[in-house]
Amino acid sequence: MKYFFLLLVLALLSCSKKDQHDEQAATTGYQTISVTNGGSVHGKITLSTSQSPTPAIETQKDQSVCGVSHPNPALPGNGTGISGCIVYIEHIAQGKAFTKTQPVLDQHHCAFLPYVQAVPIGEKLVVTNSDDALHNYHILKGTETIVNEAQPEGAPPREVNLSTPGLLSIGCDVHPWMKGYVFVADNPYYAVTDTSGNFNLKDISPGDYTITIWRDNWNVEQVKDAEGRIESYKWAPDLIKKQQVHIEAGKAAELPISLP
Amino acid sequence: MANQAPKKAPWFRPLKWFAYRRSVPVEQRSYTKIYGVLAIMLFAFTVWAVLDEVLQRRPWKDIQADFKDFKISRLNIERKKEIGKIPADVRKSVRKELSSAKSALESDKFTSIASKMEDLDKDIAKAQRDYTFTKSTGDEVYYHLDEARIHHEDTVKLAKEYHELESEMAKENKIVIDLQTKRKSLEDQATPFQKRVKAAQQVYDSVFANVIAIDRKIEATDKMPIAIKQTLLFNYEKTNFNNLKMRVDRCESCHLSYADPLFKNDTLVSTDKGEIKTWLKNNKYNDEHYTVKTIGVKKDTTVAVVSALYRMHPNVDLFIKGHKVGEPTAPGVLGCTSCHQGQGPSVVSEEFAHGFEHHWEQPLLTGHYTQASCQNCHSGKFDFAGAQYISMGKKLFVDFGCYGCHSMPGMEDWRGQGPSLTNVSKKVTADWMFKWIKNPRGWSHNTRMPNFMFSDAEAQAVTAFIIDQSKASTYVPIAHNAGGGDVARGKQTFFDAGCVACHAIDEYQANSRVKEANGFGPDLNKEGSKVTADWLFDWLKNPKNYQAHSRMPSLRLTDQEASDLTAYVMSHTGSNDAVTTSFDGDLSEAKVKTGANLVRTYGCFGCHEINGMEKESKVSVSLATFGKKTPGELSYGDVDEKTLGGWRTKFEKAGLPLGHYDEHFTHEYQDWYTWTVGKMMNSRVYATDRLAQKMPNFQMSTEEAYALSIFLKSQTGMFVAPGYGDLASDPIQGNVDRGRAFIHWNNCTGCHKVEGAGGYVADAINTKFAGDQNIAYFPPPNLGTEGTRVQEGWLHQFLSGPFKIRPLVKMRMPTFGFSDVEISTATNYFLATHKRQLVMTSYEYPVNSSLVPYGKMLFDKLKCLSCHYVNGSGEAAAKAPDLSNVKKRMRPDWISRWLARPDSIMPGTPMTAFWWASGKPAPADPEILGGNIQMQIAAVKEYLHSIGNDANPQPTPYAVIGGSPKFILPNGDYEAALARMEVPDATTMLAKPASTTRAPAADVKKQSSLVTKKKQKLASN
Repeated sequence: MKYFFLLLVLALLSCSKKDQHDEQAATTGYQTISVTNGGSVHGKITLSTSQSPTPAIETQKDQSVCGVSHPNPALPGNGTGISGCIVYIEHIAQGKAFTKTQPVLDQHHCAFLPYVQAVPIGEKLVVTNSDDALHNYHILKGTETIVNEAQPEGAPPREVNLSTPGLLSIGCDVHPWMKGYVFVADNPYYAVTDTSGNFNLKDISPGDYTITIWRDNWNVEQVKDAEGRIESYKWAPDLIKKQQVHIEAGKAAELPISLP
Repeated sequence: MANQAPKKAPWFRPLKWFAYRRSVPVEQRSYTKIYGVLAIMLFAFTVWAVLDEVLQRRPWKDIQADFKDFKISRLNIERKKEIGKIPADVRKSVRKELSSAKSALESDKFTSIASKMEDLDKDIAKAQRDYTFTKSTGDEVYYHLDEARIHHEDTVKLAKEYHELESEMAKENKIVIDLQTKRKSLEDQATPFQKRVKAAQQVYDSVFANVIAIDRKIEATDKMPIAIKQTLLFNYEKTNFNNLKMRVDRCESCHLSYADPLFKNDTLVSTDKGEIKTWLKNNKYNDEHYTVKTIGVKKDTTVAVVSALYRMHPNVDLFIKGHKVGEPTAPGVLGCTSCHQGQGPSVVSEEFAHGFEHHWEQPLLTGHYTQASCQNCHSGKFDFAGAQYISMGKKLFVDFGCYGCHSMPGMEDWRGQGPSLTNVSKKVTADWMFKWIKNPRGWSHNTRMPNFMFSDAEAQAVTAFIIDQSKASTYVPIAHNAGGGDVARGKQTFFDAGCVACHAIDEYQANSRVKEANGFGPDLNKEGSKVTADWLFDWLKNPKNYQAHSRMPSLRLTDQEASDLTAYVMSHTGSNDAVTTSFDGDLSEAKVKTGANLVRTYGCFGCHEINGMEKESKVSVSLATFGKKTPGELSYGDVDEKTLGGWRTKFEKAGLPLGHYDEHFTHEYQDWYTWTVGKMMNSRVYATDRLAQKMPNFQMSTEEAYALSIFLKSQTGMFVAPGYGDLASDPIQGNVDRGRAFIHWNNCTGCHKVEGAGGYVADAINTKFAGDQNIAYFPPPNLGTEGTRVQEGWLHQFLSGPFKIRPLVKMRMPTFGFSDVEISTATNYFLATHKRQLVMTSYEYPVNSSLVPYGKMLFDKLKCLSCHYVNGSGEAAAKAPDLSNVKKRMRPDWISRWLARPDSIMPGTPMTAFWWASGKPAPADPEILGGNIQMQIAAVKEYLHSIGNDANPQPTPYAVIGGSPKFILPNGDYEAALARMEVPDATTMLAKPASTTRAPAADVKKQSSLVTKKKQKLASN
């Protein structure tokens, strides 16, 4: 009898968890169904042009912690593949369940780590500061500030609710070169390319979809005033590419993509 | 023949019967038959009256009964959905456990235990009774024994008897205890059965909680009594004797679903008819519940709209909760007819209740026309949340300058909308003027100048007059363009100086004729062909030189900037495409005189300042009660039924349905709504050969005509009782209203967000920089909190001569050259939106010098200078305001609240929250001032107030603990320091931000609380 109730409580817990996801679905319109014999799409994102990105960024500030210059976080991956691209399917009404993740954003040597990550909507982003300096995580959607909170050295980890879908950019007003991205996905069909530029989206119900590929632009102009002080870091605009893909049941579609 | 007695006649020939009867002597006449007939008639009429009253005149009874059934069927759908949310296996196991636990109570084992317990209970009762009897007998014997003992009588017999009884009692008591023990063991056997049921029931209740809640709702709905439901509006309207009286709204007797979220999804738009069918079926709608319409150009889209009896009111938060509709009856509560009109108390039929009845003066306002009612209570507003057409209509009325010719309450002394023409010959050529007068929209599509439909000769004459009256102008340019302007640089300056906030040019085109955003000022797409470079340069440098009352501000341009801008604007040329004729150059006296007469007839001075016509009065009728006009009071000219009906259809198709059209009482589509929109689209449409019309043609689009007709519908001169609307005589509300007019007049919303609306230039910035955070193009500040943020004296100084607050930001606050009256209008407005009035206040206070050093420490530690400047020094990327003037600029209490939670005061602000993280207060530094949040905020505030003071002493560590200095104050100093400084504590910081725009609600609350107090007083008496 005791075991029965234990089971029951477990069942209830899982049920309430499911409710939470239902709630997510209610806000985004995404419905979880079981996808049997779904198709998949995989590919490699490669660089079509030979570019020489700005290799390092001048810091001019808190140099004992941040260093004199800072590596450009958005450098391409191994070979011709581009790492840190976000690949996702937009406007997908139903499909597989979300995989639970525990997103973390660390501020380390005056850089946001990881530089790019993708997270299901409704998760909590844990923000930590491992530097011996004050940072602030200034999270923007476009130009609209979502959250802007300071985190002094030694402050405990903070939590940020990720309830707005879409690409959020993160900056630090104290160290204006710091830059990071969190993609808040309203469906579980998303991926961040690995160091070789590979991605793989699985368990997709057959049909025609639009795949969106986003990558950050690594070109940055460091605008200086007359005294040589950096006024601003002007990043070239992001790149977004949309591509159609046809998914067949049980088959893996290949989608090689090249970006300028 | 004449004397012949009438013959007796049967009853069915009443004339003959009466004639015969008259021949019978009075004493012998019988009234039986007459009384009989009358009695039968009286009875029949009574029965008829009762039946009519009970069956015919109470349609709401059927509606309520139908609604109950329908609601229950909807609840059952919800119930099914809720059950579906519980995984089937959980559902099954929970139900199974409960039923098996319950059935275990009926098993042989339990029933035998239960029956045994029942038997035992009887035995126990019997044994206890025996024992009690014996005990009472024992007590009696003991009494006698005691008595005997006292009186020294023989006690032997009694003592023996008593001892016998005592032993019997002991025996009987043992029987009771034995039986109880037995029962206990049986109870122990029964308990697990009962416990199991209880636990299973608990689990069931928690798993099926939502289902059970719906079950309760179903039960409540089923039991809902069929009765009239009403809202009482106390002291709402006036009787004919000028006394306030109550209004009763009984609309909710039929509209039961208006606040029920169950009926939220009430419309479906689809191109698939099958989908609509399924939707209607799934939601249990029957034919009476909805109407299906086709819309779209190709009629390819179908809409199913559910009847108003079965749907929820849109935007319940704003319109129902925000207006206190249907709350427990209290003064200030609005019913339905306040907005919708109609005959509130009537419940006899749909026509009567909705006021679609010839004699009812306020029939139901249908569709978007309900928005007309917003204006009744909020007469000073321009932006009505959730009511776009009345907002647009009101703005168009003002922006088209309608009040220049028609008198309108509240706009009597407003300056005309058009530019002054007293110097105009120094600005444009006569030929340009002629073409412009002939057809303004041929020059600029978005112009608000109407077409007077002048013939060539008339236009020639008017032009001659206008040129002539400004010949005496003494205007001479003060500033002279040295040349050297660069078009590309000018384009940049046009953006940087903020010209884009008011003017349309190149990629920044205006798309509305409302004077708002960059549609506010003249369209500059062809400006180079209208004015001269010399004039433009002087105008840019100093607009008031040419026109003293111009709304164009000075942007404090350098000569270089001004000549760049001149070059840029002059590079945009074009012609008036619609006019082929030219001005003939004739300025003869006769022609000028003809022109003057025309100008007088058509009332050009209603909008424009014209020499010699300063004292003319408005040329047309007052529109103060235009909304109340009946179709009979309007002239339809020669426009026939077909055309009028065509307009009605045209608006309907455009998704802008005109108000209710009643076939019984209106002929040939001659109703108020059709007349008004027709007039708006073509002002001369009702002219006939004998009835000339003067109103110029604004050539409104359907949307413009529609919006304006909604505003005109609001002009009924309706009385609004105190407590029900914004009271213009209330000084604070008066300040708000004057301020709103000021804001609209000067296009403050082009740059700033005010009361949640506006800030349009931010769109241009976002478009230009595509999401890139460019620090030099920080959008102008949101003025929603201005009245609690800055010091009144500072605001006055800033508005009279603005200066830079954010050193790096390029867009600048222009110098408007406001008069003191205008500045105090603005200042009072900002204060009034926070329920405050202008009081000369000094914000000087003795700075707590013991906190200053800690504040400085925090200031440095928190890197405030990463974004802010102090005394002109800061980091290169500093984009935030200069803090050196904070002492004179900000209100001290605001600084603390701002530091504590910037995002709650101004959502989306780029200011970092230092004392707030993960949804709760957090110290910005764990050590300084012992990590005390309030003290840290107070210290920074004190430091900011000390900036500019003589010395900023260095902090000294209070104690050295564990090797590192701790920056803390002696304990006693904390409270003393905090007591004076209005620093929010953790509870205040956690509290939700107070809404700043919902001012009227507070009034109503105050009143109702007064009434509650009065009631309490009465009750206590």
